[in-house]
Amino acid sequence: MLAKVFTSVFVQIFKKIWMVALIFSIFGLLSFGLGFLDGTLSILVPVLQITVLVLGVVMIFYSFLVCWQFFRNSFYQDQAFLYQTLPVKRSILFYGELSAFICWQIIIFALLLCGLWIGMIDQSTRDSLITIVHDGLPLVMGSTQNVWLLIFLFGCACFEQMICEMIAGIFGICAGYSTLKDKLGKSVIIGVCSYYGLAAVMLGILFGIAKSNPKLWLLLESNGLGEEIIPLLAWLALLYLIVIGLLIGASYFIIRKGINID
Amino acid sequence: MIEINNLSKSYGKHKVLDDLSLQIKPGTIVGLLGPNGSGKTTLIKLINDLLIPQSGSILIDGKQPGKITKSKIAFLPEKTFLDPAWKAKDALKIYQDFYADFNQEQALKFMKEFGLKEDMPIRSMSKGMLEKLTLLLVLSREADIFILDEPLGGIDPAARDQILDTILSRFSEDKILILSTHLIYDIERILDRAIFIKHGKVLMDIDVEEYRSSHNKSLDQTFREVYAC
Repeated sequence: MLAKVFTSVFVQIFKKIWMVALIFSIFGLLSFGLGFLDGTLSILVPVLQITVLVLGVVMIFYSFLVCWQFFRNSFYQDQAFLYQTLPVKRSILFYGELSAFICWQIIIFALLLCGLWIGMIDQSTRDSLITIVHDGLPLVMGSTQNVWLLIFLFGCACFEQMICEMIAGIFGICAGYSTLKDKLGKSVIIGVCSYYGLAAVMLGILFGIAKSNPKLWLLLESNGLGEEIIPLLAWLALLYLIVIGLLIGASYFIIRKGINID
Repeated sequence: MIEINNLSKSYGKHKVLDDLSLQIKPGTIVGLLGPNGSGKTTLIKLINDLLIPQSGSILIDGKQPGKITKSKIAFLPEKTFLDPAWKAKDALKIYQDFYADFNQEQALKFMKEFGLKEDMPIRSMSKGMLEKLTLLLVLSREADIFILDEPLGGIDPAARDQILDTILSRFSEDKILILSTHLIYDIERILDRAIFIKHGKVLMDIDVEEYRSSHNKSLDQTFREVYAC
């Protein structure tokens, strides 16, 4: 049933956001294509690059809003009469939707990076960046030779910021709409807890990777981020564990409490 | 069978259902009657696991409301529950994907009878058309229990008889049909049993035919007398 929920929600989200993603892609390609031209049309390139940047930001926020609105409608508005009476456990519905939202955010983020890569940067800059990645990063990072893994981890770090905000927003809305009345305070608290909970997971992973790499650790130490910060990080980890607990509690609260739709 | 025992539900300090008990057996068409705010919709939501009661229990074929009971109940809410961005075929697809007992052929047959097309956007449908679409989605299931909240709301008087006949055509002796409506005059001809609810309690629970012959008045008249302001 989880797969059915995921597929259904995934397709529905696609139908709502494909147009914006397409427009962004078209402008990105236009910017890329016109960059090869000399003459009158090439003056459009800076305009198109700005447009790509603006559309990218719009696409990120729009996709987030679509996901948020879908969740809100399926749990707390009239469409809940359909989704909440489907023969699936409420937890399956909740996590199925959340999985689809996360999947879409990954896709949109990847599309954004591609669009910015081809639409915002000229060819000489692209070539320089590729050289740095292939030749420079392995020297700095020491034993880790797999630069694609490093790029992936860097992408995760950036993505984590976006995904945390999305999930924080969703959980904030959950708490806020658990009754008919909006509860702004509860929404904010749950949203902030959600954000830091997920940020903790990613920071923990990145910290672990850095610690396991001698040259990277030396790089951090030379910038004042050495062994002495470990106690601080430990207290931070404890705080994050607490917020993860609150996050799990919030999920349980959302799933177990009845949905009052009117 | 639906068994409701000492059910109570409050919204804050306002008690909507007050120690309500009922039993509904298969082979019955039940009218759930009462004015606005009497607790009918709350009771229906509780049966459909949309709300959690303060106290009491609901058992549907011996099971509490949840995933299994939802597969046995075909529920038509009063509100429009379809995404306006959909087309009629998208709504059919959702039902086909999630309900094993959904009869696609029956649904298409109903669509033809009601003059609806699969490619029709929901946003462009009139209120009456939307009501017909949601009704046919529900009636196309081979569920054990049908709960219809205001199934005739928004339907023109000429079409009401057609709708009622369609509802009846899906009913059989092993099923339960619960209708909640204010249009008592239109539905009383098909009701076996009428449950009048007032202030969250069962005011009257009557066999319709027996009541009509013994009291010599219609349910509609009785409703007006019982709930007179």
